[in-house]
Amino acid sequence: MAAPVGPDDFLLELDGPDVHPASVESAKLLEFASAYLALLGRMATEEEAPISFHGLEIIDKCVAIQVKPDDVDYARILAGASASYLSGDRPPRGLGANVARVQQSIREFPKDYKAKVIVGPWIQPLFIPETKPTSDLPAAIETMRATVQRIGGADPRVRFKGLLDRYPFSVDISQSEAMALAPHLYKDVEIVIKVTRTAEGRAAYCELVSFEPVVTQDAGDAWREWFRPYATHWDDVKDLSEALGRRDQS
Amino acid sequence: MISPEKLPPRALIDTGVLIRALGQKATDPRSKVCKDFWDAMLVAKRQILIAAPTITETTRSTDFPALPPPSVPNVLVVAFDLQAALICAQKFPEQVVKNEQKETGLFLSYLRYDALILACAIRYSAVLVTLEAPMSGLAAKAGLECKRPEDFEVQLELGGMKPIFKTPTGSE
Repeated sequence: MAAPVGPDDFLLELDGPDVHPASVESAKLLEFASAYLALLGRMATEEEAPISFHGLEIIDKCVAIQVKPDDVDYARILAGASASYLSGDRPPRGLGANVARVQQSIREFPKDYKAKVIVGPWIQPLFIPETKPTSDLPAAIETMRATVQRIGGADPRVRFKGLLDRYPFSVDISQSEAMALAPHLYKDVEIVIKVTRTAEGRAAYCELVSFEPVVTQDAGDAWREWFRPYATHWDDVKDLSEALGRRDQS
Repeated sequence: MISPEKLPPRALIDTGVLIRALGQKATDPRSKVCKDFWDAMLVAKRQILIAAPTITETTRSTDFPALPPPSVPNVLVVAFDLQAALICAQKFPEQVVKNEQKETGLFLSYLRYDALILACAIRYSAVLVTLEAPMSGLAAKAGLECKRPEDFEVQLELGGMKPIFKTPTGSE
């Protein structure tokens, strides 16, 4: 009890009026922690990078369950992504039951209790749809070039890794989309997605809008060919920088 | 000559660099270095990013309809998307752009283009490569370092070079 919270500690905290270990129902607290750690474990398994937690302690800090992840940075990333699922963004296929279990475990507490996940100095409130603040991350349409890392399944999904993105992400797709994408496995494609991102930039929820293959031809030749119709105009321009509204820095 | 060792893993090139790199303005003394930089990036399989607003600048002045550029390896057209929009608003609020306009005397509309392109460079963590001083000035205000294509050239430091041939001596 009352162990110091270090930068590598991972806490699930409940805060609220008169909340402390003696006042919170133990079974509900343990179910919340169990459900949440199971969710992170499932997310990690889906990413083929398993994670485990050990060293459980109860902390008298409001009330918190402390564990030690084997990779604290990865645990924080997973926790960040989990928050959007818990608050109501549609999770990737396969995570729905885990998300619902955590949501239900939070509903078991009085409404004025607030759940948080704390990793060192990083704090992430865990909202469920009925407590979610109105200013949530908006969904946006993005275009990007991405590598098709994996595709298929009875309920088809595709896993992309954006060339300029740090984290890979999975998208539920139709069978016809899966068949169309299949020839591009391990290749790059241009995709248009509707995406909700976490504050860290991970894709929390994603829909595939469209995709196009990347053509394997000489990039220089292809771009010069594309530019040819516009070249005449720029040939007639005396001062390119002036025409672009700029000035040279030579 | 471009030094492969100096090339960044990812560079977002400004419109003036792109147009020169694609073979235009051959008489412009800096067109060659733009083309050399472009070619060296492709040979080294580094990522060349082109902000979507650059496609507008490149195609909008002509009668020919704007066509989508090719989707080929190592050259990526990047969108001015939500994240770029938020970066642009944060790094280049209207007052910053207006102050820049007062300092440089350039058209506000062009500086806004610059801000859009710079925001894309920040959004995608790319080195911005430009020939334009105002672009560099605006970038500096956002803490973004700009490079010129010349910055990636081999530097000949004649003073520190050893002679290739031995100096003839009287005994030889």
